[in-house]
Amino acid sequence: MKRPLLAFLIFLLYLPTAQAQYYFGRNKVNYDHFDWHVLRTEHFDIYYYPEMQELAEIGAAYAEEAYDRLVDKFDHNINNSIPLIFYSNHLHFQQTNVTPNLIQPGVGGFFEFLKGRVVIPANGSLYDFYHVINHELVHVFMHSKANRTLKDHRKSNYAFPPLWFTEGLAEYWGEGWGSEAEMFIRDATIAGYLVPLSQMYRIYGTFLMYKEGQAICRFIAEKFGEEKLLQLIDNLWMSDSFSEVMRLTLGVNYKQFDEMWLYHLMKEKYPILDENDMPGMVSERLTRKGISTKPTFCQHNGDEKLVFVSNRVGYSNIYSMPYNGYNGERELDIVVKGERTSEFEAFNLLQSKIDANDAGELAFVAKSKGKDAIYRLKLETREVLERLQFDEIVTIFSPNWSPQGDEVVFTGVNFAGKSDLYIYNFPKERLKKLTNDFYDDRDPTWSPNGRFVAFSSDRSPTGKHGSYNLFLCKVETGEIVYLTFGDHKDLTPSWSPDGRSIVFTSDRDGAFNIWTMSLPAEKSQYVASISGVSSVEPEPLAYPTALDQATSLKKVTHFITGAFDPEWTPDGSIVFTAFENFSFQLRRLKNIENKMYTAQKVSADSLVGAPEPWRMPKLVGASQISNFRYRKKFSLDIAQSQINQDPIFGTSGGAQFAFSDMLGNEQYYFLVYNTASSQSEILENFNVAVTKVNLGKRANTAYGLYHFAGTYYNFADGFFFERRYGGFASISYPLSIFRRVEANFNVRKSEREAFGLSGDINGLLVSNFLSLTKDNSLWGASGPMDGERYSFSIGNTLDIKGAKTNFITLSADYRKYFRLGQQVSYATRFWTAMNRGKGSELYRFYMGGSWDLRLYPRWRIWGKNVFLISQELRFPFIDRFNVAFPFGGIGFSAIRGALFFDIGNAWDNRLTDILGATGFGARLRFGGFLVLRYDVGRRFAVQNIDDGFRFNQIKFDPEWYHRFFFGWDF
Amino acid sequence: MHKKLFFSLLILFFFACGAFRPHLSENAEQTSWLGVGGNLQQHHFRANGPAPPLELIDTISLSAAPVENLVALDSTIFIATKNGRIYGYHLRDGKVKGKIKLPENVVGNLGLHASGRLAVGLEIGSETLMCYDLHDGNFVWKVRAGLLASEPVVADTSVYMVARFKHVDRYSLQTGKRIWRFETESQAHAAPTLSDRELFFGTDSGELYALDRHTGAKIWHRELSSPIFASPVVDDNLVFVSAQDSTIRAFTRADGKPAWQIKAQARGWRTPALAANVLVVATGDGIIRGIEKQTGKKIWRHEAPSGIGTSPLIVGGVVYFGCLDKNVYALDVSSGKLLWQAELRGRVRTNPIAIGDFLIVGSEDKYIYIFRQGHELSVR
Repeated sequence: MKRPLLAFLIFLLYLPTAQAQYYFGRNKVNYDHFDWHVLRTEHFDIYYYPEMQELAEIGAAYAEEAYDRLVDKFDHNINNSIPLIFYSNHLHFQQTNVTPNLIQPGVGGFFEFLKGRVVIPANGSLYDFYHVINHELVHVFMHSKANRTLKDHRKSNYAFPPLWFTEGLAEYWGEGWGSEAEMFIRDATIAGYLVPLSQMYRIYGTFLMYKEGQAICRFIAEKFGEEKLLQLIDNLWMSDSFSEVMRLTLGVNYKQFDEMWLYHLMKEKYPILDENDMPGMVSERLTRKGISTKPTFCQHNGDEKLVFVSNRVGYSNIYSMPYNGYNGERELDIVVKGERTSEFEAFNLLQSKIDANDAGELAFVAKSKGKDAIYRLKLETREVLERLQFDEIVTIFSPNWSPQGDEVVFTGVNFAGKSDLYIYNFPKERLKKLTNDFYDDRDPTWSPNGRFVAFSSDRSPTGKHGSYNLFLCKVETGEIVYLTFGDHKDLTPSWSPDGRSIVFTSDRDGAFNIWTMSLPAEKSQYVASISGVSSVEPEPLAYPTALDQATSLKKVTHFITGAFDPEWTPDGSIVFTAFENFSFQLRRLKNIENKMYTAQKVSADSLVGAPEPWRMPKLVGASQISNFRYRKKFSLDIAQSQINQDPIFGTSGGAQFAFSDMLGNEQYYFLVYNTASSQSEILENFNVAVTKVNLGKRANTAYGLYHFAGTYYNFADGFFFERRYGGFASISYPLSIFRRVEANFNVRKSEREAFGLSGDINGLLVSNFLSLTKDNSLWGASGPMDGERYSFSIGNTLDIKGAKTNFITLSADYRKYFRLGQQVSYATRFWTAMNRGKGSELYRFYMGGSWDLRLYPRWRIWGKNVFLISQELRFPFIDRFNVAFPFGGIGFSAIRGALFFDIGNAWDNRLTDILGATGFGARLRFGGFLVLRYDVGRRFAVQNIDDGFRFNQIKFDPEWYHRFFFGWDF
Repeated sequence: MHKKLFFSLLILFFFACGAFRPHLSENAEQTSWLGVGGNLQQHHFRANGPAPPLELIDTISLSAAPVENLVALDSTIFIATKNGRIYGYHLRDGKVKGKIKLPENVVGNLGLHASGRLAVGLEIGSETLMCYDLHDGNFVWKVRAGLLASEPVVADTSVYMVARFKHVDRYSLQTGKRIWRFETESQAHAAPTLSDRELFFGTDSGELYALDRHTGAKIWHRELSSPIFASPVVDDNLVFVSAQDSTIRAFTRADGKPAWQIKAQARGWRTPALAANVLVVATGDGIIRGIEKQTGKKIWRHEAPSGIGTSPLIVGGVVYFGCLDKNVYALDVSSGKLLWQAELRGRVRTNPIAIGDFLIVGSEDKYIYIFRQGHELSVR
């Protein structure tokens, strides 16, 4: 039995990549080396690497401008330099050690409280970069102001503002209110899943909560006054309940606020239904589950398919379905499985399109070993024909085939953070850069005649405010002209098969809908395809020119929420992604020509004169800027103390400290505690450990020294006093985000004085272990649901002083999860471990308890050999329940059920019996990090198996056992 | 024996703490600062007082951050803290003379009468307006007046207050009886400003009111386009307002007609200061301006390193103000030239006041700083 603090240190002896409770977990892989520098401005220390210096300076200008504005807005300042850590793209950002957590693709940046660091990735769009900087700085100011308010009034024990408010305000004051936010709230209101403020705990931490928070802040500003948002922070000291703070500030509490807000939303949103529709009511539904996006049409050998990306089962995959006559989920084929192997670590589900050519080849992008790769895959055979990665390009989006099918155009973001269009020629293996600037160029699409590429870009003058317009690039010369113009977002253009029209998404009238623009026949001539059905070709618009003379602009859909990624198909339909009911699904509109004919023509965009593209912001006050190479300085992260009182072991107390550098690449841990029960024992019972961890390189290393001493107890050995002191070193090398190799070396003096059951130990032990670990599991509410994980380990322990100990340890833990349904899975585990050699009987494995052999007392079965086979059917039990009190409520997420069957045992010399348990379990996830477990069932044993196994040897214990504990499913 | 001595000392201590016993000296104006702004018109002005360079002679450690405004009577400064304490510190003796503990540890803002009656307005609670007699060491009355976000203003025998939730009241200083109430459309946060006839205040929805101070009747009101968080400043003919829409305005006192306005680049969080012909206004971007009061014409402009945390204080020819960069600064009132600065421990949020040749200012790090006219230049 181990002491809690000792268990903590044991955890420290394994690297932070190991997952608590078990030793699995994915890896954060440092693929790239960053030569960190610091740009010091008046209010910021900006950490960046030289390749992205220009971007860092732009970010610095954004940050200083935001700082000045927020000082005025908050009536507050930050008196120390704010550390901003920039990454030029999201894949680099995922490698940061500022947080130990793995970063998901959807995370746009974060602010952490220990050192007040703000970590921000760029993504190719300067406006997005600006928005995230603003958003995070609102957090910094809000945190400082709230802290100050509570400290001034000596109410530091009062709660900070709730998460819906902090995130909602950061978004509202960071970006304001745009089409995207409007889309979410419209959908939530009309589809009926909007959660009232008084019940916000039900959706705590979700994206919906963030958007509702933004909407609530907007309503408070419009109804009560913008200044009330700041007053809510100023008045935090007035009550520990934010509802009461709201009442004292606005005059209404949560419930009263809900009445006003919900009524306001209904009044504002429902009338929109007069002239607009929910997508599912007026278009054909093609998919229903998960998130399904980025459709592309493929016609090959008479077979017509729709290929798209979806996370309907949890993992992201690329699917295909019949274009016509689709009869449901049975006809969905998985073309590429994602998130399980290092070839397809992730697809950019919401940002990167895919495309299929006439040869039945699919071009798509997947993250693979630190960078994005373009794959060329034969749809018919699922064979990967080619995999492309480029030295200078880190992230890639939306590859699109040329009409000839031998080139792809795509968006690439390079190491410096610049987003540009590139063309890759497969036969010639040549990469050509089509644009070369800081503007964000996206969603390129080749015209049917192969001479032009239409794309979306923020290079128009209003682009600095986040607007995107459509442009046409003549491939041969690189000349770029406007197709649309205005302060709105025009995205994802797609050509009609005859090349006469372009369909695209636009929020120009407040919501994302599908629009078409056509070049009138009398103005231009067209070519339909390279086969030359019609022999004319579109002329690029003369520049500058008035767009309204050249285009016929029409709104094809009138959705209340949003439509994206339109794809024109040969049968005159448009397939697109619609947002509805908090989900993205594929929809189809047939007979689009007719819809265009009947749709009212809208005034085309007007462009007079030659608009100047916007310029990148510059830092002013050059005298206050300095630039130098990053030097590590360590500061305290955590300092905490603890006193334990145990009826058997008495009182112990201690403290632990953690230090790290600004980038989190080097960490120091110090642990000190004492378990003495009298003055004379103080020195003898001193426990201390020092550990250094290096995470800055791909191979993570840790080493340290320790001295542990105290009285312990376990059921095998009874009470004993043990002293262990020595040192350790370990290295963990990630082979990919799923697999790693670990080596541990430990030398220690071990002295054990037993008080009864077992013998003394005294030796100088050297242990070496080597492990291979893999984890690509997909997690549900209480544990893994899909995928597999394993850990195989071999080691040796040798007493180099005496000759009493020299044994080998082998351990294998394999777990596989079979997905039977959306929330149902079958889990199987096989675990075995053994010690072989001299002295091995004194080093045992323990089992029993809720984490392995269930229904047996925890760690009461031991031996130098152990095996366990667990089978478990996991299924949903109760999806959600909430308990509402007059003063508030608690929300519980899913309660899941399990039927389990375990067999195993531990032994020293001979396995004579097999123990088992079977029964039913319930798991409740609480607070997002704790799973409570309850198991009930029967134990059984198979005795005398050395005589052979017969079913009648299975003896069930007549009693029913039940156990309540905590922990994730295996 | 020891027990008796202890309890005697304890009684003496409380007795001493409770009663400050100030008396009106001959030169009351020089030894007192009775309310926000130093006078009813909130000019934040003294004709005579400390001139830079100043030297720091004492600091007072408090149990929590001080509130925005200090008051003083007969060289005793009264400092309210944000955890519901009121300290009395005597400038000449250099000692804390006593402490008053407010109910429920709630922050109270202070207004002072020359007779030694201290009006205390609480930001939350039930009996939110109370009167403390400094001579007797007792609360003489307490009333339910609504939540007060600002200082009660004591004038003659009345207490005027603006309540957060939409009313302005006049109470009798003697009895605590309400004399009149004026209801507003929206919340109000800043202390009212008085003249001999009128009472002026602004609201969160941007309304500027002029009431008859004696009867509570509305004389005029104007609607600005943005909230007013700073108190108006009143002159013989004009009323000056600095609002959240970054605009500084002047209205004629008699009927509220717009006289002039100028646009700044940031919000007006602080009440301006007024001296002779110069209106000194600070905005949220750290800019402090000297403006000709009759015309609104800019005389000078000074950029502080960070946001300005206090109202300016004009003492003779010097403007003092506190900044969020933890410094207190002194400028020449006619040119805006920097004359002196001193660094404190925390952001400076307590409006400086001048008593005799002392300058007193507070920082959010729970300290009050006492400066006195010194001999050495200490510009940094």
